[in-house]
Amino acid sequence: MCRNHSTVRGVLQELPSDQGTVIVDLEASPEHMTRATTEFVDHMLLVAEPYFKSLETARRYHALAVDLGIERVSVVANKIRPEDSDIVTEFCRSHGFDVAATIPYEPSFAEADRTGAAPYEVAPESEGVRAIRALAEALKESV
Amino acid sequence: MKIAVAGKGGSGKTTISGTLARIFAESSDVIAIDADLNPNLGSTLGLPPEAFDQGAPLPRDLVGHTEGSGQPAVLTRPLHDVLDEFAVPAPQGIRLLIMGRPNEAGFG
Repeated sequence: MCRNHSTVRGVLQELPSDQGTVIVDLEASPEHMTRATTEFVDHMLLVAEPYFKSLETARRYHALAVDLGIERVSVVANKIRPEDSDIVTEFCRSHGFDVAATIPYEPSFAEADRTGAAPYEVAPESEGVRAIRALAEALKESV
Repeated sequence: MKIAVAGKGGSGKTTISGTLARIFAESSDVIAIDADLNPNLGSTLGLPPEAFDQGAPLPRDLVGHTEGSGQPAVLTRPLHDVLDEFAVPAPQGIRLLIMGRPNEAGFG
């Protein structure tokens, strides 16, 4: 096991689930799931955009997360424009996947990305941050 | 609660992770972990680049040798000490742990 992955695993294993919140931003490759570094998380969120390759990635990661025994696995539909509104939810319905939130395409996120700013600070009232706030509430209620 | 955020590159994982961390920090202690070897979570948390570039990635000797043993990785030091020494302070008291740097890729 690569050291970076085993470090993530060791830290996640020892952090308590019942004190505070731990959020792990994984790399884009499935290494953290194939190496079981994420075995000790309570909830895996799979971020999916409304196009084929992104949904296929979510489908493969979902299977890996289930294999790891992660208790709750959900899809977060992201960058959703009105004309794409059903693509991710339909995909998830057909595969039996939970959808934890739908986050709209948010121009202020792209702008924050360009300038290296935090969306929470520069666009706190944007539709995108509101949708992530709704996601946080849904996660709290799922415990 | 321990939450992992995964997905294809460019899907928005880091924006969602950083913003979720800030929202959870309104009502709880938050530890944010950047598990990408090219770490970017700091900026979506609101840290200036110089702040998260100074943050030390966790050293390799922090876990016991587990290769091929089938045993879980075990930290060689108390978690509390690890957080005190390596966590980068971020807004709202969030503690950011950085797992690696691009120049470390390729080491096993």
